[in-house]
Amino acid sequence: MLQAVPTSSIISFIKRTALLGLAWLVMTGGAAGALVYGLVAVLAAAALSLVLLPPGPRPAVLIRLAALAPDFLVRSILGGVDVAWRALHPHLPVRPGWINLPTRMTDGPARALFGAETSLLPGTLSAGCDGDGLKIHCLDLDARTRARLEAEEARLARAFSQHDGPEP
Amino acid sequence: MSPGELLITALLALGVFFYAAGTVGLIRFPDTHSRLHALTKADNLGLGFIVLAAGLHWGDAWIAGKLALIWLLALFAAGMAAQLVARAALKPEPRE
Repeated sequence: MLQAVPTSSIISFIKRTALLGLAWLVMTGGAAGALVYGLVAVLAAAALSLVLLPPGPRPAVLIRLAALAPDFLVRSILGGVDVAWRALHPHLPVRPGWINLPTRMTDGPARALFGAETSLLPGTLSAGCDGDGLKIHCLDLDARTRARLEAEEARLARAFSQHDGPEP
Repeated sequence: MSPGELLITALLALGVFFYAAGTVGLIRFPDTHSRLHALTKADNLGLGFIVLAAGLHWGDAWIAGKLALIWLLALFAAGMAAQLVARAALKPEPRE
């Protein structure tokens, strides 16, 4: 007997099929002969992904995530330049310290992505969660770091439909 | 050397520079977490420049797309791996 498939699963399936399909096209260089195999592989992979990573209650808004990309790119470049400058500077200008950053992101994937993003931005590195907060290691702890992290958290939370402030 | 080749060479050199800087940071920074900063951020930028150089060298949109995909996946993996190593490197603190 067929069970009713929730709408969120169908939407996730369509989104994941589109993304995996794009990845297949890129990997095969758009080869026409590979399209049939791609169709089978992509549909199977999308179905499998629903089992391995079931859609959460708060879906990622792909268009909002994509809108964050250019800014992220610029700042991840700054992150690389910043750390390279510190590493090569004769006086090694680092003042490592920790920040505990409360986050409204409750889903594992959203938090993990925020942590990964944080780790690529200038001067910050996520070391997992501790209760409600992320433990963030800062290469050069100063007053502006927390404000920057909070702004980043707010933007990513919006992209993950978690814009209602911290959960009660 | 044509201007194109010059650009590709410059991008490759930049990529190698950031890989080297990341390694210098890995050696010079004072603790495990600071060293992770150097590895993730500098190496990603290094890979980015090398991917850019390779894409220009082949001058093919599909190959460029494939290289961009590789860079994105490497970026994602580096961010995730950094978190996992950082978490594992936390010394268990005595509680209560």
